Amino acid sequence: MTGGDFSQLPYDPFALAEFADNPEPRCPVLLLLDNSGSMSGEKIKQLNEGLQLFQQDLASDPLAAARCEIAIVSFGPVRQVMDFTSAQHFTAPHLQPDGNTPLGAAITQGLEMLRRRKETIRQGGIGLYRPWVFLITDGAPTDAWRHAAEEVRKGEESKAFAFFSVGVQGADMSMLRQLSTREPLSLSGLKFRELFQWLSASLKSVSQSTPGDKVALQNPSGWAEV
Amino acid sequence: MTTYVDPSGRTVQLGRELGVGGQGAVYTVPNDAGVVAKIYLQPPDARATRKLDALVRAADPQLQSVSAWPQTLLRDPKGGVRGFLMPLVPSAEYHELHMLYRPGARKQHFPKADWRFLVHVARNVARAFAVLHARGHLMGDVSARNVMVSHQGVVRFIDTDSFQVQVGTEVFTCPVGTAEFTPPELQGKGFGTLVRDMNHDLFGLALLVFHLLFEGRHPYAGVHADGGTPSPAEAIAKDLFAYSLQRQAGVTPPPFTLTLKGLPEGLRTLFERAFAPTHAGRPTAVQWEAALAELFTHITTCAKNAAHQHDRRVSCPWCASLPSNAGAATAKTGVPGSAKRIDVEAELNRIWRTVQAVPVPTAPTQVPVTVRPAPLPLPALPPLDTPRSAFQVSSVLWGITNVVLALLSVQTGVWWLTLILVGFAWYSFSRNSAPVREKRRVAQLDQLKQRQHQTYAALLRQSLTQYQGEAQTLRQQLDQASRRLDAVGAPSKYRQAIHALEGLRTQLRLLELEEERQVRALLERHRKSALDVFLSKFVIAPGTVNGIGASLVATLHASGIRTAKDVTSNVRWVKGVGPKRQQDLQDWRETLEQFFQFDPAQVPRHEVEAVRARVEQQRAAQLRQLEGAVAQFVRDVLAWRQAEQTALQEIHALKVELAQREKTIDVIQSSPLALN
Repeated sequence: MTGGDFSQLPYDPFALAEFADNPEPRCPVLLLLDNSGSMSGEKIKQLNEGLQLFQQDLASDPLAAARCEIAIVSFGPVRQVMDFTSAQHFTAPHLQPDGNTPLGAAITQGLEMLRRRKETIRQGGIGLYRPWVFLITDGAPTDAWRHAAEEVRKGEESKAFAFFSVGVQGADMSMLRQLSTREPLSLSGLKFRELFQWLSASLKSVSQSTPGDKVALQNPSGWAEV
Repeated sequence: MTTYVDPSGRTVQLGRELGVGGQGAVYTVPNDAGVVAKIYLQPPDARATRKLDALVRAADPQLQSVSAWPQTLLRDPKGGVRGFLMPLVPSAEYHELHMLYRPGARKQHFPKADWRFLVHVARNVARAFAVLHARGHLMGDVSARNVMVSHQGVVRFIDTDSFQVQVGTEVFTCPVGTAEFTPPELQGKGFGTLVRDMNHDLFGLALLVFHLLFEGRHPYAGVHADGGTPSPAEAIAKDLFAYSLQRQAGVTPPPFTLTLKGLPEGLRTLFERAFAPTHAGRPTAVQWEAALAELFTHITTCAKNAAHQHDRRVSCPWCASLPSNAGAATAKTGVPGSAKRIDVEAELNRIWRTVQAVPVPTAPTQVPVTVRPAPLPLPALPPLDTPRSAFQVSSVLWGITNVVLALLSVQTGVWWLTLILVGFAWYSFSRNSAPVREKRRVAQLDQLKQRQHQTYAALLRQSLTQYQGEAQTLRQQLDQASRRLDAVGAPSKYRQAIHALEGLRTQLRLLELEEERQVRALLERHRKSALDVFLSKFVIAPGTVNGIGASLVATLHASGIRTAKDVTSNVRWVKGVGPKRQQDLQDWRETLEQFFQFDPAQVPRHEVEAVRARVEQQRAAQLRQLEGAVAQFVRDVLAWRQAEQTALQEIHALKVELAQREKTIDVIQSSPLALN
């Protein structure tokens, strides 16, 4: 047990109001998005369009929108674009290409946000679905990422979250393979729209009937190179 | 587009596509506004076709009144079953059940729905399940998405082709499920060919009722003592019913929620049974219906907050659950007190003991005269007149005269003259003989006595007249004295005085309320400014409120509306804010306000003290006034008693005198002498 589990938490009356208004169990989704200089041009344009689609598609299912909450951390440099926001109120940001690729720091900050959010949800007595962490990058980290990789490994092991990594053209896939326990996916071309549609459809499974024993993840073949 | 035919061979034209799901799409039927057609994306296989056939054969009017139950099979021209017709559930009128029980969605879609409405809907859900279960069918995949509710609180089931139906001995299973509505004994099991029983459906029904009654809370979502954050399905699998009053499972209800204590005993028991780890004997739809109908008749509106409704047999659970309400409650009790405060009740008790020590005057009783009155002396009998002597000197003289004359006549010799004279002398002397004298004496005495009686009777009559006159005067005096006694009127004066004192006492006690009112007004002023500070911490940002994006946020900020504090009905004047967004913004502010907690201890002590000191002075003055009034009262009561005493003594004396007179009159009247 680490001391981090007992760090101070600010009193959050807004969370209480939020949970009274919407007591549905939550599925936090953390998007770690690369907006380093290498993403400039068509890549970042497609990413932004994908986010718009994601917003619309998720909002079309009111129950899924009530359950999913999105946080976005962009890196290049690390910036908290949006803390966890209910998909009903989520408005897609417009990302601009910027500096380098501090991937490790982005993961650490994002996971810290997730940890805080989970604690708020726990204290609020709201059910929690396993959170999703979704990393999208097109390069290689410019900072130390081993520590981040260790955090990802522990989190996956304790089922604290599911970590997915997506490499865009030019990404260091071998680094991504070491980073996440799941096989990283490689985006085919610039199919960001298909990627986010898939993410939205997968997240909607939290609000849908299932055959019970096995919850099959949607097939990512529409956007990923197999 | 493919054309479809119904079993009677008629072609069914499809209209607009209403929606598309994983299995099929739903279309309007232009010829019949009351039905819609569901067409499967993939043609159903043989077993699915048989299930659809069974569903259509099981259809009856009551099932169709509570559900979109398949009523007619639709085939392609080659004869293959492709879909079916079912009653339309209009989407403008009906919403998925979670749109009602989730407070955020309710504000938008059911703005007028109150708790009474939710209880009513829960009852209708139970009634619809009762219809289904009475026929041996099950929803199987119980979920809030499969139950639609209208603005009239009427409920309809949808997705009925997935229901588990039984025709004869053949059971067509429901191949899907919703994890957070699946009973613990089925968690983790595949639903494909699983034959469910009614007890499984009843778990789902209990969950739906719970969500409706508990503002969308899931009964298995709570705060876990071990720091865990399970999903509802994981909590169900471990039987962690968070609200149980009977079992401690290491999980407590979420903060600021209704608890089972907010419900009547009957419903508490039903929920405990439905979510018990025994998994058996869950309450039936009919039992839920009865308990909810009973609750409905007992719903009352909270006296403190008209937005609160609850069972009248329990105290308002909403007041107890929300922090804003809790704040209102502490404002009454948690106000900093004053150290040197007059204990009014103790003072009143002390003063009132003096009042109570004064005996309550009763109506003065006319003291009865107990002594036997002695009659007054009667007039003395007048003395008897002295009787004259019975010896008649004249007779002697007459005798002597006759003797002398006889002697003289002897000389004359007229003997007959002498004889006559001797006879006269004899007679004269015989008048003084003893018997004659006695006779004469008795007669004289009688005469004297008679005269004496007459005199006495006259005297008595005189006395009688005198006493009667005196008695009359006494009666008049007695009457006057009684009137004087009544004029003292201690009892009525006492009542008046007590009334006046009680008025003073009430004033003093009202001062208590007045102080509370003034302190509360002071607290309210502070609460309002603290609320403003609290609200100003919530900056309007894109996404804070549904549909308010970056540009509108910028406009709002430019108009001086930066935080929740600035959100008033005036936001409607900001360009781009319609009535809908105005409402959303105000709802947002209201929601935040509900979570504002105000600690009265934050109010500067000296301000509260100043209010208290002012009232304290009034209190002291009124206490002095009351004490003065009580002292005066004691003196008054004493004076009234003395006056009363004097009047009573006078009356007693008069009565005694009157009684004497009356007795005397009585004696005189009963005397035989008085009768003459």
